Amino acid sequence: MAYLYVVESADFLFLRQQTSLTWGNLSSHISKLEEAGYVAVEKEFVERKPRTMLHLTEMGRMAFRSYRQRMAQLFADLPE
Amino acid sequence: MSKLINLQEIERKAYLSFFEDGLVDLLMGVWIVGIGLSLESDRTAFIAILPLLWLPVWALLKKLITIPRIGVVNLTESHKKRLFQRKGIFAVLVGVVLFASIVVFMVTQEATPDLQALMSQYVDLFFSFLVALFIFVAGLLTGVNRWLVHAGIVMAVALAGAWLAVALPVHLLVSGGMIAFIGLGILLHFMRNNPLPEETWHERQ
Repeated sequence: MAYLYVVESADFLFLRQQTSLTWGNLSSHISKLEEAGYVAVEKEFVERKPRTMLHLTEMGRMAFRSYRQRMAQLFADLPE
Repeated sequence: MSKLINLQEIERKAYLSFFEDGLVDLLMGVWIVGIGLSLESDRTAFIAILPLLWLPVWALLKKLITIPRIGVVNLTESHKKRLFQRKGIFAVLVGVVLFASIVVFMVTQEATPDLQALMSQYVDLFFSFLVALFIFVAGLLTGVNRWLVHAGIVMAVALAGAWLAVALPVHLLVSGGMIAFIGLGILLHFMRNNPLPEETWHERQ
């Protein structure tokens, strides 16, 4: 989610390289995020080769912002 | 656990992945070698033509080597805007330096023989300084720190060349060769660490 939050869109391979997750692990995460409506998956062909582009939906961006705010609040409330 | 996700660092990492293949370094070195060869063969027009050849070659190599290995990312509009501003700064710098060089050249033509002799003595260093300055500013603007080292290599080799009284093309060939060699090393390391994926997620679905 964080990687997709800071970019416009990225393909599956880029996310896999950046996160160092396995194909299976990442595709499982992406499928769940897609089902939740947080990630949009677009399959396209570039020079006859398939490419899967992913981007956060507006709902996904809002959910991630909300998550960050809650985490920030949680850490701020922790005692020293 | 006590740290929030550093989005700026993730954005920086995503952006710098464009340069981790070492292709720019390799082509930068080849460009400097090309300048050296152009001066050596007295075909100075090639100095202006070389960067024009550089871009399509870079784009082709990027498509053939980098994208199949690390994929594609599209930056946000605000990030693209920041990059555009930095490119603008770089273009202004190139313009100012070229204008200053023309002024220096014209002043030299009108200068006294003593001043002309003094300037011709340091023209090698001046030329290398320009090349190093472009690389240094490009490194600062892009955040690719190893380009600052490349700028240092160009200046160090130029100073060594001046000290050893070696002509300009020779130290450009040496510093360009060193940078191209570093770029080649980074490229090979990148290709070894990022082998071509056996299958894509798209194919698995």
